Amino acid sequence: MKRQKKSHSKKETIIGISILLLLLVIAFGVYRQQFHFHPALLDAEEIEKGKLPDRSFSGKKNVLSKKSAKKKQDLSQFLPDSFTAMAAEETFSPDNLSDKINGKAELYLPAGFVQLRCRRFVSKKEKTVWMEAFVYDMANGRGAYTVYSSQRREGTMPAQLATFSYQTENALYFICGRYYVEIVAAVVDSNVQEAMNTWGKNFVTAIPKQDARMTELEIFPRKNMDRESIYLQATNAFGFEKFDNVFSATYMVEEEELTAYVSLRQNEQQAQFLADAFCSFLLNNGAVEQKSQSISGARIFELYDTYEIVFIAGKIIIGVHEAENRSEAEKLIGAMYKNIEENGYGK
Amino acid sequence: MENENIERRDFLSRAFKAGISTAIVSGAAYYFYDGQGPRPPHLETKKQNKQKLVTIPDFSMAEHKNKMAIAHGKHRGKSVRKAMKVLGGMQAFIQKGDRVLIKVNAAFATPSMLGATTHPDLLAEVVKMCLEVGASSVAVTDNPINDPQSCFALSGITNAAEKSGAKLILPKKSYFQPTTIPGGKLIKNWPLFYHPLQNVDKVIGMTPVKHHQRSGASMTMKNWYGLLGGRRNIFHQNIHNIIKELAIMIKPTLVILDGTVTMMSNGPTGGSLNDLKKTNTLIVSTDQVAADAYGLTLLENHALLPYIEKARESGVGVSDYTSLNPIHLPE
Repeated sequence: MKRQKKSHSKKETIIGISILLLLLVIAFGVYRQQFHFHPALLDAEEIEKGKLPDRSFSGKKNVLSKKSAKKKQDLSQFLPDSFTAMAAEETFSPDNLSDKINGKAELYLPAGFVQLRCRRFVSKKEKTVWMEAFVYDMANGRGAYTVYSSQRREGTMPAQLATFSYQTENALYFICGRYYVEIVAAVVDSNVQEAMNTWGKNFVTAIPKQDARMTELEIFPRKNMDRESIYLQATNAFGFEKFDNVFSATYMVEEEELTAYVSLRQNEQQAQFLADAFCSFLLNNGAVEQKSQSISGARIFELYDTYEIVFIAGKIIIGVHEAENRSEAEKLIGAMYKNIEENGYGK
Repeated sequence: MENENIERRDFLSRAFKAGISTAIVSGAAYYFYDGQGPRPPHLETKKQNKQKLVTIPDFSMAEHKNKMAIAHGKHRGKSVRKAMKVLGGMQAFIQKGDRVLIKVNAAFATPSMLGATTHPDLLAEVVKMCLEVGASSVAVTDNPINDPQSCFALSGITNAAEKSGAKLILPKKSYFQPTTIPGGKLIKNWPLFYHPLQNVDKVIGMTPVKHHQRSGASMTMKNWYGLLGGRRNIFHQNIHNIIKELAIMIKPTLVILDGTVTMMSNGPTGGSLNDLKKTNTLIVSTDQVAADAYGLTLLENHALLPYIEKARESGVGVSDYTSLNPIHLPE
């Protein structure tokens, strides 16, 4: 008798097809994933296609071509006659900024870094006297201020160059519009210092400025403020991830240090939301809320024997951070609020 | 009965087919499996496609384990000689005929006065000391991401090396081979600047004490970063673990940590003399973890950085440098 082939039920067929489809999906996923290499090796593809230079051992492939150097203003045009270009101009983008400044790139990238142009110049008379200019395009004045303020040195001299500028024995630092500029000399020498200042003045004159007005700076009371301490934190102010775009300044009051801060938000709702979130952050980290007796609407927290004050005025958040003296902290908030009210900020 | 046979036959047939299918799929999976993963093109040439992973030899000397000397003074040459003397002299570490490699920090094309690179005076002195005790050769190397020739020249290292009798080894494509460190999660099949490490007997790491924006500090362990090739900047996102793995990767004969002038802020590049402080201290040690832990005190940092703790936990060295009973040498 002929063996009859067993027929399959519809259910078995459906299950069988489903399993096969599932296996196909898994196979496709594996096939796709195996081409997503380790991030470093991803560049292997780009290198092979000729899109990126091979940086196995050297990072010298950043020389600006003559054509593109002409399009942008050549950095050597700002030099005095006594100096000349020592090497070709280099450019760096967010992808390879760390090739030039290593771990410091982490300071620039979150602040909106667009491009770095840099070039070395040397004295025509003395080859050991040279300097390097670094022009960081930070997209806007705030970005430039962020990196300028976060690297502010102590014990510096004012430079009569721009609103925000200073110099040291061997270097000059300033903001011009969207650019943060550093000029660093290889020696301490009056000739190179003069050359740096000439280059800086010529640069400031030539570059169109689109200074963003930083209202926040006007809110800080001037009395007792350490003007060199003003600092714009692009992200993660006071350890709170969401707290971005925060100006802070240090005050010395009766030998005690106070840190005040200001953050201008887009609207009142955002200011309220962020302030509430920061207050929750403080509470989650062990702060104890206290009643404010002198400032209506301010929230005061005690945290490890210091005080935090958070206050909202329209779309501006102001506060004092880690104050040891609550009374002085409250006075400072009062002074900041007075500046806001008198000038109509935050409306 | 016949129906039972049909059922059994059918079962055996299906089981056989399933078995064959499983065997084919398993065999194919085994054939395509690649435990090492894909390699960058420069390691995947026809000549190199069967390149084996290399391992860095152990250059440490068991008889000199746990040694540390801290010399105070403004003059680097004098400080390093003082420190080496109390550790038994350079001859305790470098034997006659030894081929020595000094891994410097030549990361930036900046002048030595800015403290971002190994100081040429210190390098020249150590090269001289090695040759004085009979080293057959001394080589100096690093793999800066920036243009190596500019970095070595403008930092003064080229001049110092040549004048003191050392040979400079600049990076080249062919000098790199892949390596994987034991238990490494980052340094896996990664291009290593291997050529300078071949055919040497002793390795000395030499670097200044610097603040570092990302890791907090750049000292002896981070100095080995310059032995990595490839797009190594991606490791900045995992900086403490990469530094730990670098310290596991290489066991040097000695490390020399130069805190004569310390970069206190705006590291690792610095740029202004205002970033520097004269701390007049030079550390020589056979324990790079301990050396870095002491270096932190020069940065006025009283909390151990994560990479130091990770390196200690990995058994690379001790973070409590006092346990080595370091010898302090006043100015």
